[in-house]
Amino acid sequence: MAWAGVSPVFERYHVPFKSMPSRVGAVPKFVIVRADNCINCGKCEKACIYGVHKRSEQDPRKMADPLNQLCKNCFRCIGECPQGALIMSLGSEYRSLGRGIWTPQRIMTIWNESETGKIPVFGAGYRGMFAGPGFDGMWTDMSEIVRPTRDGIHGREYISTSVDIGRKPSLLEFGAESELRTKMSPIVEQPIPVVLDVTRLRALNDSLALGFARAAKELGALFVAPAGSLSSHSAAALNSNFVPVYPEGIDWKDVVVPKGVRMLEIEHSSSWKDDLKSVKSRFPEIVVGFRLDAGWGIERRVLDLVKGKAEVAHILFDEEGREEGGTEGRHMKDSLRAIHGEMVSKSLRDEITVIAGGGIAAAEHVPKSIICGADAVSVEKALVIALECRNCVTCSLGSCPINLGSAPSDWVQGRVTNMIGAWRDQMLEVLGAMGLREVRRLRGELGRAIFYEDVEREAFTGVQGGEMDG
Amino acid sequence: MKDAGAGRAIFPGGAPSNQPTDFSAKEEPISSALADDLCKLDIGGLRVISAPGERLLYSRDQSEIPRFMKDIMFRSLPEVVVQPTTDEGVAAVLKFAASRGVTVIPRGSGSSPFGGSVPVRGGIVIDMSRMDRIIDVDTGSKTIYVQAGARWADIDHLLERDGLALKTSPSSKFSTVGGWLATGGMGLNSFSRGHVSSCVLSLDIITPDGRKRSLTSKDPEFGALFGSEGQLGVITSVELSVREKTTKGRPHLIFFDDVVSALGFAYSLAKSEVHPSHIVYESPSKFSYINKLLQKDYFRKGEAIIVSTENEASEDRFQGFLKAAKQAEEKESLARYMWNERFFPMKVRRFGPGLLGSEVVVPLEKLTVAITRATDMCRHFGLEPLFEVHFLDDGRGMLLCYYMTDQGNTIRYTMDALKSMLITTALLDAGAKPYSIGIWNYPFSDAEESAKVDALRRAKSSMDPHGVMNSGKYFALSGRLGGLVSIVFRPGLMRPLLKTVVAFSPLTSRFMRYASGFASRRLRPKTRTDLLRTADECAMCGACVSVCPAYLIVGDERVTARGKLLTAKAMARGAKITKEHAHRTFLCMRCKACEQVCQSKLDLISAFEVLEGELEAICGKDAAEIERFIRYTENTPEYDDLIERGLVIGAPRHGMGGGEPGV
Repeated sequence: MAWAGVSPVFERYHVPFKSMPSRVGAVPKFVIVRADNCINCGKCEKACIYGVHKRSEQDPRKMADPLNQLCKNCFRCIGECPQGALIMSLGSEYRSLGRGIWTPQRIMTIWNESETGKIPVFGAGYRGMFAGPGFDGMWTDMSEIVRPTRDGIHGREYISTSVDIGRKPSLLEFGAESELRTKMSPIVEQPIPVVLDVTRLRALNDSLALGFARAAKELGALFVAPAGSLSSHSAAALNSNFVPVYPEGIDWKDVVVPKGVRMLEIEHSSSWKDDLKSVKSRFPEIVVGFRLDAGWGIERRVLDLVKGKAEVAHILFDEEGREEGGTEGRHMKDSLRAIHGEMVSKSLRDEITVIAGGGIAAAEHVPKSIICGADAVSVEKALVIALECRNCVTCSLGSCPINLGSAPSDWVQGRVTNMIGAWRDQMLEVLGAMGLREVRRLRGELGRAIFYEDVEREAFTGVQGGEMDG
Repeated sequence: MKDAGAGRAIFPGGAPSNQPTDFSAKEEPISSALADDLCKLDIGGLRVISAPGERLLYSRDQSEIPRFMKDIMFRSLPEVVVQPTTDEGVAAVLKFAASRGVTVIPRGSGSSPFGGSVPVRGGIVIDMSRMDRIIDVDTGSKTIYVQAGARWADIDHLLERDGLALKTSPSSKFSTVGGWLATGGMGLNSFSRGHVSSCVLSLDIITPDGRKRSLTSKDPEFGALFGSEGQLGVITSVELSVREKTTKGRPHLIFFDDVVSALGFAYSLAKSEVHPSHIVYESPSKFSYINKLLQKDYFRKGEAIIVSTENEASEDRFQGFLKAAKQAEEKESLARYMWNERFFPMKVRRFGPGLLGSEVVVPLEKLTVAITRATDMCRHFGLEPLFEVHFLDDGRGMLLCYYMTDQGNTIRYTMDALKSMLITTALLDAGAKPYSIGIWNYPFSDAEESAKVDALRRAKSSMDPHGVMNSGKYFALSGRLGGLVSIVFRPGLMRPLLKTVVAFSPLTSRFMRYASGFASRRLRPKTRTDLLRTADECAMCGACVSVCPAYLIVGDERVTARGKLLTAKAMARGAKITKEHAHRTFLCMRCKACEQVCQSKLDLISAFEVLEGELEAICGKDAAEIERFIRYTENTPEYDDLIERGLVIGAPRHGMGGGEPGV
C-alpha cells in the first residue's frame, strides 16, 4: 500500500474547531430592557462577566444598549441593579423561531454549536416537562450523572466513534486450506456515525454544496447528494466521501460513477433487486444502499433487503422524525426499535447497515437513534440550521431572511464542522458515562435507555382506576 | 486549549482594567492676590476657589435678584470662596481673614431667599457644604453628633436605619444643619417639638480669633446663636437630640369653605388635648396649582388644614376631635400626597416661572387679620397669593405668602419684588415679625424683638469684636453708591416710605397693576430658549447639589444642576466661559439624581445636553477627562453609598413617576 516506506502515523480522530461568527447578527434569546429609571451607575457593567452591559463608546456617561446576544440568563445584572431598572424576558424573535420538534431552544443550540464548536450548557436549570413526544420520551439511563468520564472526553481513555457501513457476514466460512470461502462485501469505515445528506434539502446552491462537501471531507463523513447535483468542482473536492444518489430503474450500462466513490444510493422501489444486481455487476467494490421512506411495513421491507443481500438501508423519516402519515405514523425511536428487533430475531442484524435520516435535530438524537437500532444517522435539516436558517415555512433562496444563498463555502464548512464536532463530543460524554469504548457497542443497547411508556406502564400496572365504582 | 472549543473567550466583560485611582478636574489658575496668599498658607483639606465663574455661584442664594440691581447696590461677588473640610481649616481661614480685615460670610447650602449668605462687600465665603459628616449616632441616648455642613435629608436617612427620626426639620431638607440654626430654626414639627434650639444639646463654633468654643444652653451666647445669620462665627459641629420614629400616626387633610373656619378649626385643635405633631394651613390656590401639576383635579379647591398625628394615641384623639367637630377628612392618599409636598414648596415656581413672597411669624390671634389684609393687597396688585401657615408651639404661626412672577421679565419682576416688600409691610403692621433678615428684610429689622437683637449684639461684641463675620448686614447694611443703599434700606426711612405706599394702596396698586400688565404684555422676553426657560424655572433650592455625585468628587458647584443652569444664564448674558469651566460642565454621571430631587420637576438631563452642545461648540470637550472622571467616580465607595440610597431619598426605585397620588 501507500504506507510502504513511510512510517505510519497513528493519531486520534479529532475535529478541529474554528470560531465561525454569525453572519446576520444573532437572535438574542434573552432580551434585557433598560427602563427609564436607569441611573447610569455602571453596576451592571461590573456585574456582567459576559460583557452584555457596557458604557456607551460615544458618551461614557451613559450606558449603551445591552448586547443581548451575549446574555446567558444569569440574572446577575438584574440582582445588582440598585434601581430595579433591568427587565429580562425571552426575546419575541427567539420565541418565534422554528416549529415542531425544531424548537427555539434546539435551533439556538445548533447555532451556538456551529459558532463555537462547544458543548451547550444550560445553567439556569430545567423547567420543562418531565417527558415529551418522540426522543423526549427516552432517557439514557441517567448515566451522565452517575459516572462522568475519568479525565474528560478528550482524556486518556480513547473512545471510538467509528462505524463500518456495508454488509457484514454473520459467520465466516473457511476451506480445507484455511482459505476464506466467504465472499467479503466492501465496507466503508467512517470515523463518526453521522453522514451528511442534502438530497431532501430544498434550498441548495453550489456554494452551500461545496461548503457541506468540504465539511464532510474534513470530518471524514460521507456526503449524500443526488448524482449530478454537485458541480465537478464540488465532486472533486469530495473524492471518496461522495455518495451519489440515483433514481430507481435506470440503465446502469451508461452510468459513470464519479471518481473515487466508495458508496452509492438508489431510491428503493419494487424492482430494487434488479437495480442491485446490475449495479453490483458493474461496480462490485462499491457499497450499495437503498433509500426507503419509513412507513407501513418498513420492518418487512428492510428484512426483504437483508434477504436480498442489500448492503445498506437508508431509512428516511420526515422532518419531525416520523413515518409517512405525519402524526399517525410512528416516531423513529419506535420504528427503529421494531426494525432492529425484527432483524435480531431472525439473526440477520449485521448483514445490513441501517442509516436513519430525518428528525435528527439535536446532538442527543444521534446516540438515541443508535440505541434504538440504527448504525448511523444522516443529518439533513440541521445542516442548514447550522447556517442560521430560521426554518421559515416558505423556503426559497430568493426570499431568505438571512440570505442563505450568499453564505461563503468556507464559512459553511466551518459551521457544519463545528456542529458535528460538538455533537460528537456530546456523544463521547454519553459513551464515557456508560463506560463504552466505542459507539458500535451502543447500537441496539436498549437496556441503556428508559422509555417513558415503559415507565408509565410499570408504574400503573395493577393500579385499579376509579371507573369500576361508577 | 483547542479541545475547549474555539470562539469568544467566555469572560470578555467585567470591569475595564486600568481604573484611575484618583481624579482631579482641571483647575483654573489662581486669579487674585488674596486667593494666592490663602493658598500659600497650605491649609490641609481646603479648596480655594478664585475662578470668577465659580465665585459667581456664591454671589447669590435661592432668590433671584436681577443682576444689574445687585451689581448697582452691592459687591455681591466674593473675592475668594473656600471649602474647608476640617475645624482647623475653618479656624485658619478665619484667622487669615481677621488679620487681613476681610469679611467672612459663612454659607450652608444657600437655600434661603433672604440673602443672609450673600456678600454685600466682597470678602471670603466659607462654603461649609463639604463638612457634611455625620460623626456619631448614639441610639442609646438618642443623640447625634454631626458636622455643620451635614444635610437634614442625609441625617434623616441615617437615623431611619436605627429607627430614629429628627424632632424638627426645615422644609428645605437639603439645607445644612448649620444653615438652619443660623437663619431660623422654625419649620416642620415646630408645633409639637418647638424651636430647633430645644433639641440642640451643644454646638461648636469657631470665632474669628480662631478659637473653637463649645456652647450649651447654659452659655449666655447660646440663645443668640439661633438666627444670628453668621454674625458670630462659623458653626462647625452640632449635637442634636432625636426621637424614636413612630409609625402609627399619619397625615390628615381637611377642607373648609372659608379661611375663618379653617383657622378656627386649627386653633381649637392646637389648644385641644390631641397634640398632633404638626398643623399646616394651605390656601385654595395651592391646590389649584397642584391640580395643574398633576394634570387632573385630584384636590378640591378649598381652605385646607393638614394635620399630622404622631402615634396611635394621638391618632385616636384626633379621630375623636374630628368627630366632635363634625368635620369630614379627605382620602388618606390625598393627605399623604400633601404631607409629602411639605418638602417641595418651590414646585409651583415653574408656573411663573418665578416665585416671590414673604415669610413672617404671626401671633395666631392676628393670623386671620394678616391673611385677609395680605389677600386684599395682593388682589389690588393683581396677584394670586398662596398662603401657608405652619403652627408653632408658642402660640404663633409662620406665615408664608407666595405669588407667581416672571423672572425673565426684569421690569415685572422688579415690581413684583417691590410688591413683596409692601406685603411684608402690611403683614408687619398686622403684628407679624420678620422670619429672617438677610439683606432684603433689612428694612424690617426694627420689627425684630429688641431683646433678641440686644442678645445678638452682646454676643457679637464678645465673640466677634472686630466685626469680621458677615459684616455689613443685620445691624447695618452696607452697599455701593456711597452708602445710598444703606440709607434707603434703613428701617427708619424705608418703613415709613413703604407704609405710605401701603396707605395709598388703592392708587398705587392701580398704577402698579397697569405697569405690570404693560410689562408682561410688551416687555416679555422675545425669545426664550427651552434651556433658559428651564433655568428660570429652577428654584435654586440646592437640592440637586446635595445629591450630585459629581459634586462629591469635584467639589465645584458648577458641575451640579443648579450650577449648570447658572452657567446657561451666564452664557445668555454674554459672560465669558473659560475652557475649564466649560469642561467641568461635562463632568456628570447622568444619574438623574438631580431630576429626582428637583422640586420643580425640571427636565434637567435634556437641558444638560443642550448646554453641553453649546459649550462644545465653543470650547470643545475633553473626552479623556470625562472617561477618567466616570471610571474614577464609579469606583469610589462614596458613590456606592449614594447608589445604595437609591441616590435620592424617596426616589422611586421601581419604575418612574411617583407624582400621582394613589387614587
